[in-house]
Amino acid sequence: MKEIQEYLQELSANLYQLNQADRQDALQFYEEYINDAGYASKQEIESNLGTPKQLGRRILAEYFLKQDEQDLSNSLTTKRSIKTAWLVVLALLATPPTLIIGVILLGVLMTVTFVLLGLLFGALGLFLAAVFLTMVTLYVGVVLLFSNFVVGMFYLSIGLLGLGAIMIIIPIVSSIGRLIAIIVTRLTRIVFNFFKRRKVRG
Amino acid sequence: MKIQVSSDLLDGLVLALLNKEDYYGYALTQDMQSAITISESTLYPVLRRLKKEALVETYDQPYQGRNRRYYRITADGKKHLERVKKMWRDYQESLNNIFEAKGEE
Repeated sequence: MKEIQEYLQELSANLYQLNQADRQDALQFYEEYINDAGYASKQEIESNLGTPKQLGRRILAEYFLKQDEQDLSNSLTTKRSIKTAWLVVLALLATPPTLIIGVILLGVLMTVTFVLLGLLFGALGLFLAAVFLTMVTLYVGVVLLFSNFVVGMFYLSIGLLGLGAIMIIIPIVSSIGRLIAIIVTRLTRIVFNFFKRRKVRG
Repeated sequence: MKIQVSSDLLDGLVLALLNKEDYYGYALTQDMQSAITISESTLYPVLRRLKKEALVETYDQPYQGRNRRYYRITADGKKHLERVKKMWRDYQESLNNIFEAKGEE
């Protein structure tokens, strides 16, 4: 009895990402299952259901990856896609037989992600430099207005031009950022679905 | 040699069993395992998904001082079952055509 409760508590801890209702639902299912199956020791439970960690990951992976296309693009945030990617990593590593293939595919996925991120950061760096330059120009323009009006106006006008360009570019950059997050998550899903189809036994 | 079962077929098999009678989690897993090889942690995600898609609904019944959750197929579930059975028949037929095909000379 005590070992069953311990197992369930550990399982609960491994399901912390879920909301209360979903977690309770899963725990209830498995508590019932363990009782009906008559598993009495931790060893019996684990040899049939896996460790709380493994079971937890399997449950979580279904939650986060088997979603509607609609759902996915609507609720996508960078945090979510990082979470998604992590769960794929965990789910893949949870089954030893696919470990090697999983690591290779994971490597490919990570390489693609890092390349895209590198490009993104490069673009971001350039953008920040442009912003900085614009600010400096505006500042210089204002200061010079008082000593040399014409030159001051000159700098000011350039600065304002820069400001306008920045305001146009900001939405473009954020769209690109979101697009990259979507691409990475799509690839992650493809990788995971590939394994799911191979993994579902029987 | 075991042939892998896709998740669509898995859904269909669960629905087929529930079409005959209501089941609770453990009993369903046992009966599934008599037909195909699945790990014991496979069924919960399947049932949860079926419930989410309203193909299956649950109700509780007390048993030996605790609760037992039963799964029951819905009208939508029966419709989906028919779709899967048809898909399976078509699939079977096209595979059989290849397996049984005599060589043409």
